Amino acid sequence: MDTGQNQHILIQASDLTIGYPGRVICGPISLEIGAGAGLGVIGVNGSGKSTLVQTILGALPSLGGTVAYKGRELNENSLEFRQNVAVQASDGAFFEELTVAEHLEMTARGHGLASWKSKVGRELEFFDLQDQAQNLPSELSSGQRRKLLLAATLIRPAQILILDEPEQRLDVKIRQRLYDRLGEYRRDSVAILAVTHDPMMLRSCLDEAFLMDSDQGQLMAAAHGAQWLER
Amino acid sequence: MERSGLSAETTPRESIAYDPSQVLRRVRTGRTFAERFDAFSDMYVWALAAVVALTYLTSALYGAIFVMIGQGVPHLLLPTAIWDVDALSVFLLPVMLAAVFRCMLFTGPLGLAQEKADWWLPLPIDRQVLLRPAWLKALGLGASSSVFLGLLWFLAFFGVGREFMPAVFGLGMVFFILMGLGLAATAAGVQIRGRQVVARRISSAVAAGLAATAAALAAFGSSDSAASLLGSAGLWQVLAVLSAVFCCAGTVWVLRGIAGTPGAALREGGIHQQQLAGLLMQGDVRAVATMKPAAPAWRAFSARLTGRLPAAQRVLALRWLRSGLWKPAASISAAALAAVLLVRDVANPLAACLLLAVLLGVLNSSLAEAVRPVATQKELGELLGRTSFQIHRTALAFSAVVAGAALLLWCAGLGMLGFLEAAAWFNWLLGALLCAAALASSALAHAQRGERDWAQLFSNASTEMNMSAFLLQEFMTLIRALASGAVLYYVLLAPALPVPWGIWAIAALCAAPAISKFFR
Repeated sequence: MDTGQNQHILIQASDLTIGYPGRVICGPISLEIGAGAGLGVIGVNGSGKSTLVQTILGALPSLGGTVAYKGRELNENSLEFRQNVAVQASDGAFFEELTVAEHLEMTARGHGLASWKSKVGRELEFFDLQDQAQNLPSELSSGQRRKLLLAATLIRPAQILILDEPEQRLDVKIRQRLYDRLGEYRRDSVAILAVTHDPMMLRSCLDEAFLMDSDQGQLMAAAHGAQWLER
Repeated sequence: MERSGLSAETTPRESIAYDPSQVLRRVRTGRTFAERFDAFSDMYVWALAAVVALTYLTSALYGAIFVMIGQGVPHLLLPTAIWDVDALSVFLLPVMLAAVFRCMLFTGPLGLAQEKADWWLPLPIDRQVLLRPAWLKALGLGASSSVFLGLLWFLAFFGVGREFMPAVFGLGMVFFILMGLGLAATAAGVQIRGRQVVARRISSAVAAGLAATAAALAAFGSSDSAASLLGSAGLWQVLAVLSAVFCCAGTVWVLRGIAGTPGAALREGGIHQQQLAGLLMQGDVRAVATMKPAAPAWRAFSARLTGRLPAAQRVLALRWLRSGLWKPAASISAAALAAVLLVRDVANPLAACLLLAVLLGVLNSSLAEAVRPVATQKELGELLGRTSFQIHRTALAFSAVVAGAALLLWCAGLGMLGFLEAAAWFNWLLGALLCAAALASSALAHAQRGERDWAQLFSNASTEMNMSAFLLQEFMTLIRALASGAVLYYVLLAPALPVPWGIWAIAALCAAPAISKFFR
């Protein structure tokens, strides 16, 4: 299944079987994500959406098949992968003694952004976190912590964004703003792979959906995926 | 909003020269004097507490060794006892090193704390910035755990009647340091290459092989010469040289592959290190008793086995069986009986008391872990349609039955070996039942205690008395668990004598909270 421009394939999963030792969740799955593609992974709870993403990222070993990044076997340790693939965790741990702004500073500087101060300011503004910039993580609500994780994913440069239910715990206003921004990213040739339960996300910024309802899953237009989620 | 897309052409090919820990350092150095003083005094208190804890632990273990070999206490001459303590020391040496290796494998030994893994691993920075501190920490962990066990081993080795030999001790400690470093390096090499499962299998096979060799040595009467060899400085010199070679080879092996350490391995190592620290700080099995999914066959068998139990009892029984919480108590019982059967000096009443105390401590912790969810989460009781009081009573009944079964089996084993007087069956039967009720009560109390903020506890303790009160409070559940076996200790030490009323009173007092709940 090809999702995105053939001429610039970023991630290619071939005959990928996902699951845990002794328990196959699904497969074989074949997927291609090209530059500027927008693919949503949908399905019921427990269908293996996050497992698929974790396997693609190399965080979980696959039970079969291969995953390639730009034509080479995916290596999450490689410099190129770390430079170009931005992954948002569904939940994350924080440094107790660092403020919100310092967390973002660390990410921005770690990616070599020269104008990191202004970028941190813009992300704080985008996610309505200006008032919490000097707060410690323990002083944030769960939704604000979620915004911090998303801000850290978006502050850095990337060719592909991998998001795991980014809509969780976000209010509708921020959600829509985020989807608009993701749409702009795609126009800028940044690919997006997102696990989601939100039809609005599929309609706003993705063009295809991968429904995990069978061994091999099925690729469909984002609008159909949104309808499936609304059923 | 500026877009963050980056084309391949503009992607830098070099890693970023940035150390993310500098933000942490900046925050720490930017503290006010009062904050710095607080941080320093916290560190000071922690270091002091660690030294005091290690001293007490060493003394306790040293005492335990002497109790085990029952100095001045009549031993049973069991026909199966083919080893003496010297043979045991030969056997223990490699077993201890295998334990250090397994500990290293469990802790990674390369690991990154969860927040560091989440925030630093995805950065395109030079990985050496993250790996160097993790590597040094792994070496420190390996060396310190090996030295600690080495010290205990020498305490026992010289303590069984040998004269202290400084040269042997000095060379031995060099050996333990180098072996610790070498084992940490080997475990790191295994971790980097993702071969932990194979390494675990090999180390188990090696341990089993060593046990067989030591048994064969003892059977052919060669264990004495093997033990006397350990008293020669020459042997330790050779061992020190070999361990230096091992250490160097391990280090080279690690340095060849460390750059490719998988992020997932670092993350898992960090989680396990945190769990180990929690275990040491809290004395709690909760960290390492992580529930592993039981095999389907075992799940089906346990479901059939518990099929007729009431719902609440069944939940607890399934948790106990499927999570493997029964294993520590079973292993301790089996190891204790094996030691009594096979090692001449261990077959004495004092050692049996010590092993019983260990069993009570382990039962207390694992039963506490089994009943913890229902003891602490009110909503679980509500799901089962029971009030807090009812669910606590269920937990008590479950713990009492399990502890009672374990203790009766233990008593039967000791009785068959001749430690218990058959004529005094009433004493040890009632003692075991009282002990089971008391253990149930202490396990429930242990499960209900909250997470301790040790830093706060220590900083609030302005005097030694104050500190002792805190520690007493903290370990009260454990003390209760150990005291609950009062009658059993007595019948082990003086099987022919009637149990004084004071001993019965202690056991009854420990059991009273559970008994009163049963009959309320």
